[in-house]
Amino acid sequence: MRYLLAFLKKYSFFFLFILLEAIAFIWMMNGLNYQRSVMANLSGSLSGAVYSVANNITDFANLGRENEKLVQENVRLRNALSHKKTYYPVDSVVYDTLNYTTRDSAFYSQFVYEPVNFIHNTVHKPNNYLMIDKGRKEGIGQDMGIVNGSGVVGIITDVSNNFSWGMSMLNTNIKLSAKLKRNNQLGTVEWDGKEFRHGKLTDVPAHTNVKTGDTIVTSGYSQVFPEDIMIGFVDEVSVNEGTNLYAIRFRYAADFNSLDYGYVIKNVMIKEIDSISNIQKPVIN
Amino acid sequence: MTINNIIRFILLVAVQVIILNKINFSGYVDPYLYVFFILVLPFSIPRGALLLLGFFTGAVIDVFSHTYGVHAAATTFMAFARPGVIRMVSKKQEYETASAPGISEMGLRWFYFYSSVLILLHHAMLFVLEAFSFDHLILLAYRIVLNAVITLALVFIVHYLFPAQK
Repeated sequence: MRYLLAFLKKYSFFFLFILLEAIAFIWMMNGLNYQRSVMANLSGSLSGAVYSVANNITDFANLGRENEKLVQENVRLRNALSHKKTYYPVDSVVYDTLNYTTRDSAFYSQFVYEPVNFIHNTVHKPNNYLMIDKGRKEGIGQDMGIVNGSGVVGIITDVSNNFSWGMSMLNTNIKLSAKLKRNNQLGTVEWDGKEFRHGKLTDVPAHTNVKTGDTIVTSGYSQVFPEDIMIGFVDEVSVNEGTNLYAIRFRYAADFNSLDYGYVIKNVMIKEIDSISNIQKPVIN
Repeated sequence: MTINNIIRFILLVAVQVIILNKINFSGYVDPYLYVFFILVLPFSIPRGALLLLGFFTGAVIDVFSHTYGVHAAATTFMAFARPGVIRMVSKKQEYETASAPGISEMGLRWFYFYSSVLILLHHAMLFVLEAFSFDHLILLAYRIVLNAVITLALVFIVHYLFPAQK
């Protein structure tokens, strides 16, 4: 003990220096997204190395790879499915059902799925962000939608070369156009910042028929998500006092506390859509 | 002495935050004159206090310029290096008789070497942390050297205009 104290005293200058630098670095990490994403890169590769060693020891060695394969498979299926949303030339009789092999632009679908890995996520803050392991190099850009196998997860906000940050649905800044699947009534999905299992659906008129258990899906009007992607299930229905709108509490389909694999949805026609929505619309009398 | 240092600290932080942080010639010019405060602290200051003052100075600059700990890290590093640099640039214990680093006390040559080494260390740490990558190494080196030279020039101007009172 005496030696320890003597040691600490002897090198106290150095220890104090390390302590102060550590404080400064923690401050930096909390402050700057860019530094955060670079740091997460480092910690990601470190923990990745540790995990891969652990995998070699245990019998779960193939689990990760299998999972990856499954995700790739899902991507193919989803890409094939989303072809339903595109318009084919009337004369085109040839409908290649495996058309991810086709290179004809007429067969491209509007939405392309990119498999991603969630590497950071929070659920207990008023504005929750998540981080995914792909970035600009994989063609990920701002305002793209994030989903997983269960439903909508969030929207990309910042992109670096290899990583992206996204707002999760558990963010008080998020407002997403949604509809009730049963009667196609439009509404807006928000989060009140309280609890991560439930969100709220607003702007649904109170004269419509909404029941507990109804499914809430994306409306497809936002160009971020395709139509009919699961968001959640209605839990409680009440009418906002003084308005004729419902206040609907719903349960999220995605479990935000255990995000693992997911997809980023690229809208390949976004430029075209933007170009026509920026043109001033003619006045129709 | 203490009062002088407090006044100098306030003035340097004010000049840094109000004037120098706003200057943006050619994009790359951002000198950090506030390091002058650490440069001219008395020789007799305990090393621990030196570190804490370094951290505190950087932290104050960070708070004002929204840089989240970058300056605190760089200035702490500079304070950490200061005793070693003093030993390096001095002949045998010549600073034991002097009170604080300065041109009048230690001579122009001594002060020039002493401050250029410390400013370079500070700026290197600062700009590397700011960029947080070595992707554009030449640009990074250019920014470090350019701003170190400008800061050094400013340090000399301030030193001549407001010589440290004994």
